Amino acid sequence: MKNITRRDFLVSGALGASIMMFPALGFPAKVPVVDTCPDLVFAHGDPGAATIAAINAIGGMKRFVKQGQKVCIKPNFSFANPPEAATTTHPEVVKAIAEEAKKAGAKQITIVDNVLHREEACLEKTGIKVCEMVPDTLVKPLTSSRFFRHVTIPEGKQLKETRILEPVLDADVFIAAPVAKSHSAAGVSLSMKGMMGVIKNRMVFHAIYDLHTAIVDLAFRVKPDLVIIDATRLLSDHGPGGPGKVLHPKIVIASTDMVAADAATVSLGEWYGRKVKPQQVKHIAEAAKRGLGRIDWENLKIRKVKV
Amino acid sequence: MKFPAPRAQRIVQAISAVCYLLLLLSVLNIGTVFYPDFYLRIDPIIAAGTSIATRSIPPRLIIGLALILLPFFLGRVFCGWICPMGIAIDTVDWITKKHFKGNRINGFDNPGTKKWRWVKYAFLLFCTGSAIVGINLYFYLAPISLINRFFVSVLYPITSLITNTLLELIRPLASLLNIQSLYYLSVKQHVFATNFFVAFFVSGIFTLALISPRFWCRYLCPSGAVLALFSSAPVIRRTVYHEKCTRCGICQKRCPMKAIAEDPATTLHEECLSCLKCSKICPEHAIRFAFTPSKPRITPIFKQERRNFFGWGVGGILSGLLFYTNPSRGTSKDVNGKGGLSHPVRPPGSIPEGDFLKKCARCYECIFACPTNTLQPIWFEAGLEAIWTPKVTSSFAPCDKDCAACGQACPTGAIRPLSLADKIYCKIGTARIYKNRCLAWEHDRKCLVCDEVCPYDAVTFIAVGNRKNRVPRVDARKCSGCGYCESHCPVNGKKAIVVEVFGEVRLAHGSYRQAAKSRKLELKLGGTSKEGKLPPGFDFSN
Repeated sequence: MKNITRRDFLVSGALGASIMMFPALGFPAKVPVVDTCPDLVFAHGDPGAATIAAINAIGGMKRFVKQGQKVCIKPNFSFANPPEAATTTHPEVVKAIAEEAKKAGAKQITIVDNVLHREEACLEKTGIKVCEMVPDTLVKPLTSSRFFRHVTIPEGKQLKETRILEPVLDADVFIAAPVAKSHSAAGVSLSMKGMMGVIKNRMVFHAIYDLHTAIVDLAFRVKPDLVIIDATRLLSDHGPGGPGKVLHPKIVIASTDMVAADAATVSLGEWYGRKVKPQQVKHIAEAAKRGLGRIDWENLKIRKVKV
Repeated sequence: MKFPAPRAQRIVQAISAVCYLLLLLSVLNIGTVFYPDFYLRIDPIIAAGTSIATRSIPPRLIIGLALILLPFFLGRVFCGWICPMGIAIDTVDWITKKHFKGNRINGFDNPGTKKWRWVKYAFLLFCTGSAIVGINLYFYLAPISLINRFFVSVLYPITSLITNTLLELIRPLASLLNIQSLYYLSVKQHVFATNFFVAFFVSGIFTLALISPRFWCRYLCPSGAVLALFSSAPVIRRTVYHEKCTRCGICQKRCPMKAIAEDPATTLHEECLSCLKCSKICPEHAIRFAFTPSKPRITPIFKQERRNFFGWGVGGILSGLLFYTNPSRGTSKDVNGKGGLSHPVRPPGSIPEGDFLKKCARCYECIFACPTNTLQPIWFEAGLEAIWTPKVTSSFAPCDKDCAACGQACPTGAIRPLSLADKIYCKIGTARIYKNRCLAWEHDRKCLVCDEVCPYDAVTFIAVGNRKNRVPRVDARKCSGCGYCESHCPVNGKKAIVVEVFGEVRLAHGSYRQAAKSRKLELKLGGTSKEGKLPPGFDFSN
């Protein structure tokens, strides 16, 4: 029997690979549906209805969720406050997302947050439990370290490794559903800042790293497929815990771009009694600079709907 | 082989054990069951001891006091049929019986003698002596407190750990079967200080079963001693038909309390648990437990000289005085305990420290009821007198703003049951910032965690000098001492913001709202006084 040298092996391997690549080179890429969809959606209305309208306008849940997939939704239910306080995502918003995901064929839906207050109190007060009415849906505040998995962040400038919630890592489709609120340290807490709710050790963000840079670092690792920001109520000041001034824009924002969604929400709201430009929020500005998304949301394809 | 029919006593014991465990577990969801602390309320020594030490009758302990009268009618049935400590000892005895067959000494008493039985009365008298001067030491050996401590701080956390480990093992299966609820299923894991000592202490008591069954109940238990005092001639008691009895002595050998004398017809009624064992095993059916009007031959309870017992009482009084003259009670000006008793941060609703120490039964009910696990028993840190009392450990977890479970769980009233509305005004301490540890003060870093998490809005960030970042300040009038700040402070080891006992409000009675008002406190959940504060986290330079 003829022995195969390493050289032969590599040559034949390369040859085989290029033959297999050939069809890919020969045919043009399929035109995705995505091109026809808007980049950013503003839906005006009541929490549940506006959320469904926003999802439909961005291309429908089928654009993101395929039959039999695992979906993970990360709302904010970190504080044991009622929805009126605007410190947590409205349960109807999250429920609407879960329902749409189920209709699109999701096999299982996990709604998680590493909550700040006591687990039971968060479940009870925020009203998030109502989402479990959707079939195959589980709402779970996860704080125990065994539900987190260690990951590295190659793109990270400061945060190079952390532990992230397993259901987030294991999901086929990951949806961020933050509430629009101010934040005493980060300025605002929207989709990017909200990702601090899927990691175990948040303390290092304050103790070791620069908060804004670390938020962007983390956003490189946990990029949602879809961002739905609940600005039906907006906590204008004294976030993240409140109570503060609650505005009622009655708007749900949807985008596939975290930066664009956050930037649009910043422009839309009023923060501490004044208008703020997205560029003036440090972590959003840095995220745009590092190429995570578009801060100039006005230049994107926008659709506005009203229900 | 025929399975022996269980005696009535065993059935009642089993029911009692189930009730005890269910009630104990109901503490985890306080408010669901009416009297989760029922077993602690009926412990005779907790009831009697607390009443003597505080010179009052705590309303919740009236059942326990009433129970002391039960021996007049039924002897020590409480010990034999109901007491969870007795049940635990019997269980250990039953498990180890086969293994140690033949090795067991079965007591160092001869049948029916009282050689060492005085020990329990001595302890009782010693504690009564100290209780007379206002130091409650009964809790060391109060049986229900003891077994409660054991279940709460030893068995429960270990059981949760094992359960969670098993759940961990079946997680791959849950994942395979795609059962999400099973995949994420876990039970609450709490941890408790002093667990080593409690385990050591209680297993010591269990080990004594190797010397004799019910060793604890014969020689040590103060509750047993109280009940024994009143059961020298119960109305319903062991009676032997002299004409039927063949003096075979089998009852004498197998009595768990060795309460049957040389002559098997003679009973030490104060040591008899009325367990009915003798009447069941008697081959001649010569033993009955029945209404017996005639007076029995009463042997004196104290075989020791009365003087000796008097000595134990005086010893207790003198020991009580030792507590008063120890610096843990404060300075020389405060020996009466009215002043600066040094102590840790106590649970919300704790009565003034001196009375608190008298009333606290060290039963761990509050510690078990605490949903955040911030309540921890202490060891020697506040002196010998305060062993096993609860402490709010803010470095560990905060005192939940929407919870007042500890007061609901307390059987003696050492912690008052507060309404959530009144609890807001119950200041348990004050957060203090250690500037040399604080990220903002010491390192000029942007950290606002304490402000973010404070439910009372007591932390404000102020601009100081030409610092880049704002620094935290605590407004003592707004701080309730709940410890959200301390538990979330990112500084490792000793936190940079620490809740200290300074400024606590302790009321024996009356409304905390009124007290807060007269002290000019501004306690308010989520007050918004941050007006005029510039938006942080933004950069307006561009």
